[in-house]
Amino acid sequence: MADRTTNGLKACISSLDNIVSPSVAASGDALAREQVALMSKYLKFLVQRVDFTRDRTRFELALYCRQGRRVGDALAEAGTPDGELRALVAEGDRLLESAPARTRELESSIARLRTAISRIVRGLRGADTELRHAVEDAVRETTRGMIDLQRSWFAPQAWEAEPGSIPALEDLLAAAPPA
Amino acid sequence: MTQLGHRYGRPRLFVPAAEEASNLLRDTPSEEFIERVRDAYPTEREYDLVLTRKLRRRSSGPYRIPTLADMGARTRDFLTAHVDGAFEISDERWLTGGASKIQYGFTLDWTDPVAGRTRTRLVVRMEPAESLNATSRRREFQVIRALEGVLPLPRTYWVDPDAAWFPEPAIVYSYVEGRTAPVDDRQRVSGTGTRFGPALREKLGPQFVEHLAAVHTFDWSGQELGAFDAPETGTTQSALWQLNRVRRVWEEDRGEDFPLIEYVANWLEDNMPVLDRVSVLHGDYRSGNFLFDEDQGTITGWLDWERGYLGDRHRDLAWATTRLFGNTAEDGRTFLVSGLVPEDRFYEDYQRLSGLTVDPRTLHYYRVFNSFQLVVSSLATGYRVVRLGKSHQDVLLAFVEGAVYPLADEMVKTLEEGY
Repeated sequence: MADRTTNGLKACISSLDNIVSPSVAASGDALAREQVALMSKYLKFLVQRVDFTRDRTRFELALYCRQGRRVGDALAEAGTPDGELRALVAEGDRLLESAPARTRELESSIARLRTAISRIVRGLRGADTELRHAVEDAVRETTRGMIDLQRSWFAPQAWEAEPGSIPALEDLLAAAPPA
Repeated sequence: MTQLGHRYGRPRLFVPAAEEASNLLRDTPSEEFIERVRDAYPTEREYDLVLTRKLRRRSSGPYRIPTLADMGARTRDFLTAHVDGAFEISDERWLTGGASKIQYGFTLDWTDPVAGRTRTRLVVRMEPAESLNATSRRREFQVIRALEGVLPLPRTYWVDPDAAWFPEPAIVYSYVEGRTAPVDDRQRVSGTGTRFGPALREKLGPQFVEHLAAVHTFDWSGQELGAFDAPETGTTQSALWQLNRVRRVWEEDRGEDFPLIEYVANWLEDNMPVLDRVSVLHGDYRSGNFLFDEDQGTITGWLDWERGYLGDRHRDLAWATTRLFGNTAEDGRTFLVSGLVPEDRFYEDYQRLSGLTVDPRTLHYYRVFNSFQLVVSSLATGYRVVRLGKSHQDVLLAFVEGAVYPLADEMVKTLEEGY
């Protein structure tokens, strides 16, 4: 059965713009008018992105698996391997290779990787060690891909000073995530 | 679920966000959680009060905007207690604009102790139940009142710091005529990339720098600023208080962990600058927070002082020059600070007018810190407020998530570039 989510969203937008907004404008309620405009704006953004949600989630999981691998490698080289992190990366990789993996499972894997890596970085706070710098370098370098993904995702919201510098979402998602 | 240690380093409070139980803990914080974050991140007293109040009220359910009738009744009760003689209020309305405050406008027909019988347009300014930035009306009232005569400001009349009269803590000040953007500017959220055009820039730009210099050189000693804590010069106390405030907000509000935030927090803790001079700071100094007369080209009032504090002027300088708040001139190359002044000229004029130096290392620190603060509030606080329905601007705050990533990009680039 064809998915009609986008149809429904567009109907909401049309109703807000063509029926609700003129009526609210005529009422003189400036706060309500502001809210109707915001709702329409948000839905217009959403309708451009809803079809890419799963692809984005998969791409993001790949990026966090990469970050987890790099951080795990830094820990292992320092003689302090983190088995929990390795297991989370392995689980993330497995989900990416599993076609039936549900979006919720992918999101949960991302969340657990974020937590594990964050805990490691915070735990190294105040330590002036090669290990800390190796882990932080790994985080900083691998975060670039995540930032670019999200900037591309939110590009229709027009926050960027130089929107032309952001890759189109379709192109970004079509390319393989960095290994 | 609350982690107190990690085998790689010193024990640190860390409440992971991956578990649904953590989300529920942040939705309905226990007294134990509240005391742990207070203990882990000591900050200024008034901020501790405001943030603790926020957490203790968090379980009270979604925000419902008061009706105009309710606000009118409360306003009349408040004025009965604070105004001598007969009065009438009229023209009551909610004002629009702004992501974090809710403002009720009205006209008061009364006997002003200064001006005599008159009609005054006033604004009651409050936060909703929770906002993008939890701040103190007491502090906002004090700083605006202290700076009266230094730069264009609304006139402050009264403060209800503990919500004895209004639904939330409130200040009552004069309505200021003017615009935040030119009539024909197409902008995103107020202040982000406002296009003034060359003619207006010529007039407003100098005032933008003069006013900032005036605030930073203001002699605040002897002023009634009891809600502010003054950091010690020659120490990193100022930077640490602000870092702790933001780290506390991250701990209290976030719905996801983000390793980049941990990395940047580490860097900030390692690189805190020593304070050389305590200045009054605006805290959100940028276009969008001043009103101007477009015909005259004059700034008529500086607003939104809720983030103000006593601290390092470089915080304001870095904020004003945030890329998100500015844009590029017609030549396609020159970055305009808040859409008004070329960056090099901004610093030259500021130093000339204030007599104060701009330290590149400290400026760099606060560039990183400001981005960090903005990412935390948009990503963490924005998420929590919308999830719990705590404001009248939940749709806007949901939209503002998109601002996180250009800010994160700026934050990482600034770190990598150094100073």
